[in-house]
Amino acid sequence: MNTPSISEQLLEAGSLLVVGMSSVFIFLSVLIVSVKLIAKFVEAFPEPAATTYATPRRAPAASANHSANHAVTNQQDVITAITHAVSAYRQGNQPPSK
Amino acid sequence: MEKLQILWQSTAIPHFEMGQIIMMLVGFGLLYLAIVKKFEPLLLLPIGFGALLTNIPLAGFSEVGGLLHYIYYVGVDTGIFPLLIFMGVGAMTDFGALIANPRTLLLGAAAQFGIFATLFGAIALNAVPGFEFSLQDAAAIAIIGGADGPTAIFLASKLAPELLGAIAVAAYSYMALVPIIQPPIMKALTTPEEREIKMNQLRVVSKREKIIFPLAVLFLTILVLPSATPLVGMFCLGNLMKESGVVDRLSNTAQNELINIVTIFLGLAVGSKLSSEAFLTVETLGILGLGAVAFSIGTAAGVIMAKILGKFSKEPINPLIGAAGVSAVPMAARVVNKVGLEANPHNFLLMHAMGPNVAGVLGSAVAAGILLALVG
Repeated sequence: MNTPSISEQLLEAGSLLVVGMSSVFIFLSVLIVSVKLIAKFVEAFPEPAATTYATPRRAPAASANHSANHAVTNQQDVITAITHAVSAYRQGNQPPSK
Repeated sequence: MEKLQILWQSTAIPHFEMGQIIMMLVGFGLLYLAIVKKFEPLLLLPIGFGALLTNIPLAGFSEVGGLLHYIYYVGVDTGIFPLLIFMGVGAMTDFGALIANPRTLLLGAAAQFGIFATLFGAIALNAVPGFEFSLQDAAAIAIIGGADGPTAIFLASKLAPELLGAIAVAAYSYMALVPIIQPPIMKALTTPEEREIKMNQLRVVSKREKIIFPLAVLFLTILVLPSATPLVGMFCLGNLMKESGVVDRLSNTAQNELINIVTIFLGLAVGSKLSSEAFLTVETLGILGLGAVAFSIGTAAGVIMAKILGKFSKEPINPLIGAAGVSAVPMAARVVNKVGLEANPHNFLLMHAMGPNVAGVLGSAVAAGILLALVG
């Protein structure tokens, strides 16, 4: 078995370095272009339901800082809404003879 | 008297060799790192225990007929275990940050410079007497710089199975050491003002983009780099299972039960390669040294690339996020976040660093495919 000299091996390693790095860069650059194309494509053909995915996911992250306040007011809103609904319902149909 | 002699011979004590004792101590060392220091315990614990088992005299764990021999043969020799792990990692990965800011892929690419520079370094080590790395060995060692355990094991099992033990141990040890290795390099290459740069909030990524992305990556790999499709393909399968949202059961299995089961076996199989004749060599020292170099160069290249990108970009880019380009998900991104917070306590870089971080996973899988195609 003939072992190539160190300088030959180094030359090969050097060419691997150049070829390898440039192919990694080319591959990922093409991927960048395709990600941008996908984004354009998705924008051009919006799914009616697509926006609904985005909002609930974003909400917790965006309101993380003042979530405590929001949660309280939200809950109060909900409570008042339910109370209104219940009283309206009760006025509409009184409970049978009691 | 003769019976006593036979009984004595059947105990382990007269059969211990020096190498086995040293390797058992190495195994205990790994257990110590895992249990006390919490260094990648999920892998170092089974690896350390595997090292204990494989060095037991007379038990023959790693000989034909032994448990570890078959685990290694079935899972690592064939490359199946690292690929299954990669599928689980894919099912855990969220490409949202990357899709929102695709330019960070360049950072993941730049950090792979550590791999190829180390390949060069490993060959240069041949000038030192005692080292004889073939190009295959050098490639397998260099992939430690990808900071990706399964990729390193996959490539090592294909290119240099006799070095697998040392390479896997080095890869996982350095991944645990990311918080120690990276910050000094990151700080040396950036000014405090650069570290304070705030980045714009990432846009919201739609579900459809996240579903199309793994398919696009796979399609591109099929066209350009078929040798990387085992790694990239399994990764994309895991990711598609997660993002499609229709097979939550499979996705959950891939990222929990399956990856846990495979991790146990993978750790034991790697540990079985820690036998004295394979590990107690000067080459192991070389591998450990080269691994640290690979990590450092990768980190530096990522940070420098981020600085270059920042010069040409209209949007501000904090150069620290380049350091996350050496995969090691999510540890490297957390380190970036921590160093960024030190410079500016209101600057949270975690989400921005996740982009280059997952780009690094793709980058090292691509680099592994290139090495397989060129050297394998």
